[in-house]
Amino acid sequence: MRVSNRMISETFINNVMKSLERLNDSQNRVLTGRKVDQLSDSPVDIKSIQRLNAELTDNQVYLDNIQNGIGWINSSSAALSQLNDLLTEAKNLTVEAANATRSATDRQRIAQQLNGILEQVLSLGNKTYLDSYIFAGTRVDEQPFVAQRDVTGKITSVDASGDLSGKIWRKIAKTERIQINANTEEIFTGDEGVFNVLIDLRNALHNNDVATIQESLSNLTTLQDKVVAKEAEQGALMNQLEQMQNYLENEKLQNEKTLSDIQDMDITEAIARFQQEQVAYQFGLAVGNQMLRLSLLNYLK
Amino acid sequence: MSDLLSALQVGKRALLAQQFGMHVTGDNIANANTPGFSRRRLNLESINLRKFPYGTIGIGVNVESVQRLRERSYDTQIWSENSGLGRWQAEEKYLQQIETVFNDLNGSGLSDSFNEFWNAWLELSNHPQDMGVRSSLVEKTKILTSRFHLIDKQLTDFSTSIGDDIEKKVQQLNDYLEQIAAINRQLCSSQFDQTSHGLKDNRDKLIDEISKLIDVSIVENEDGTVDLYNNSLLLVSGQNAVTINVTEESSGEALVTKLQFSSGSSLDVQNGELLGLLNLRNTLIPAYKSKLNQLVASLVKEVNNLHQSFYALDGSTDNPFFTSDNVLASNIQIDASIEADLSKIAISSDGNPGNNEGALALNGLKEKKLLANNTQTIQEFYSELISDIGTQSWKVTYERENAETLVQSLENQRQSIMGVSLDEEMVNMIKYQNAFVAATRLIGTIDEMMKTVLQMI
Repeated sequence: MRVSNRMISETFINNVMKSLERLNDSQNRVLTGRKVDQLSDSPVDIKSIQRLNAELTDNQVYLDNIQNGIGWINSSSAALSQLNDLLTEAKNLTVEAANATRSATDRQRIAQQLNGILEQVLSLGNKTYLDSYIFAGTRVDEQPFVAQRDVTGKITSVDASGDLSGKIWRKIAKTERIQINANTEEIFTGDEGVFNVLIDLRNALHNNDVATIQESLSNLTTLQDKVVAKEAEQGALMNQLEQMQNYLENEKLQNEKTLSDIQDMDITEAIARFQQEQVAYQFGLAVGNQMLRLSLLNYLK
Repeated sequence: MSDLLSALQVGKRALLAQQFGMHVTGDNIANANTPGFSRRRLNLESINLRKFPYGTIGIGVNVESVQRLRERSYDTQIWSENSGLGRWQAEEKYLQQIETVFNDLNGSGLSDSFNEFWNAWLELSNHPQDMGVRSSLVEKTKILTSRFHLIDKQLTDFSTSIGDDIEKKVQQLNDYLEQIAAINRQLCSSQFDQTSHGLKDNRDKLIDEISKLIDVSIVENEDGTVDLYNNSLLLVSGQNAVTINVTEESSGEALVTKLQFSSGSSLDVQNGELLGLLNLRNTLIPAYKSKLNQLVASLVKEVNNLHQSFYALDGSTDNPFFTSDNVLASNIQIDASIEADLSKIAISSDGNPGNNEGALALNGLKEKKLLANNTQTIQEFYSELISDIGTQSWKVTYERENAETLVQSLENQRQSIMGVSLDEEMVNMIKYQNAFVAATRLIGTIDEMMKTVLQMI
């Protein structure tokens, strides 16, 4: 093939440009550390990258939600456990008061102690977590239990306001949500509820009404069983949250690894490629330098 | 003596021919770097005229012709491949920019705004009464809507600048066509004739340029002029060129850009930069926009439907979250009443402030298959859109690289024939110089011989 001077210079320019383009590309790979940086770098991987990115963000949010849920449940568990202790105390006092050797004065003293327990139970019922009443269902902004008191300040009855059965949910995984508030209307409200039982018991102690005192004992036991069952329920929820937390943290690590495999450049490979391209480019320039200088003119005198 | 005189003539002709050769060589050297120049070759022939009793001998050299070295078949191939190259180059230029607009891989695109938006609902479900969280939801919604506005505006801007490009390229095309018609006219005039190589080089170079813009074929006429066709439509017919206009026609809701002759009939562009640009403006960009609009319409509809079914903090219900009239990517907006009063955000199913069912349901929309006949979630739909754009951009770059290699190799083959080799011209120069010196020596010798003859008298 006949070779003209333009061919030599055009070929040189084209090759050097291509080589420079590849050098620039491999430089980019080293600098960004990524093999997929533009959409066209690997269109087939885009969906996976986007899905993984979304999952990673979501996971973080679910983990935050779990933290928040754990806070709520810890707070209700603590309240229930205190309630349990108070009921045990009330039971002991009742057993003591039911003893036939106790006098009316003794029972008055015990009634005083029981009144103290009643006040503590009231404040437990109105416990808040992050400014929300934890036993108020979804009416978290309103005190759920309001005491009516007589002139001496004694609690005569406790009204439960609003709807204690409202449920508050936390989303803890793509398809899973968990109720984080404990519905406690069966513990707090009704004739068998803790307030009525304690008020009746205190009144019976005041009135030295041994038959009612003895009756209350079984009521207290039933109540305590309910509290224990609720506590166990909360414990199970806590377990579920902690398991989910572990699972999500694992999944996060997995996803991070997969994303990195798809998107990130093996840096040794990137640098090796960059050096290869650099050498190719330098050779191209050197050869061009020789080639473009060649001419018959150099040898004509 | 008459033999000597005729030998003198031989010398004279030789001098002239070598000088002429030097001229052609000089022309080639001067144009070694001129684009579109085809090298010339001096064709010499010997003259056999004189008959002697002992036979015929030559009486020197004659300049037969100056030939323009060019292989038409390479031209035709280049012209057809050039159109492909032009098309892919034009598409690549804009698709790379569109790709950047949609590039989500670095964590600042629409997908991220969407993730933030969905998670803001979840955050709200954790703190249903918190005004700070509500306000952050509104801010994140505004970031999302402004992302849509920005992408839509950038696509519109591309479309506008592609429109300008089309105008410019068509103007250029008209200009080239007119220049070719002008060259055809010159070739027919008395001043020039078919041997006007410079004119033909210029004309072929113009066709090179035109072939980048649009698919053309040529027919060479006997008088040296050419006719230019786009498919079966005449662009240049002998000494006349057509004028092409850019028009816009509405087809459905979209405006379609077309190329028309002044007669009103449309040009059927099959290749070249103009096809690439028309394709982007009439097909690709409208398709991307329509996908975005589908996404926006479905988002607004579903979010509003759910939001309107829940109760706000102030007890109101049926509050739209987005403005809902005729929503497009360019005008999606959070409802003014929500922005003015954060308590209007409605997420409670029973009216109680701690109830977060609505926020959970709204967050749940991201997992619902709302698009493409209920087969894709919003995220999947959008991923598919940008993956399509990535694929398109990748394909166009691939095609451009192929076309470039092809055109370069054809250009090399063409240059192999028509390109100037300085080494070759140097050799020619020495060749003509030596022959010239020899011819002067011949004349000098004949002169001496004649003097010798004259001294005899």
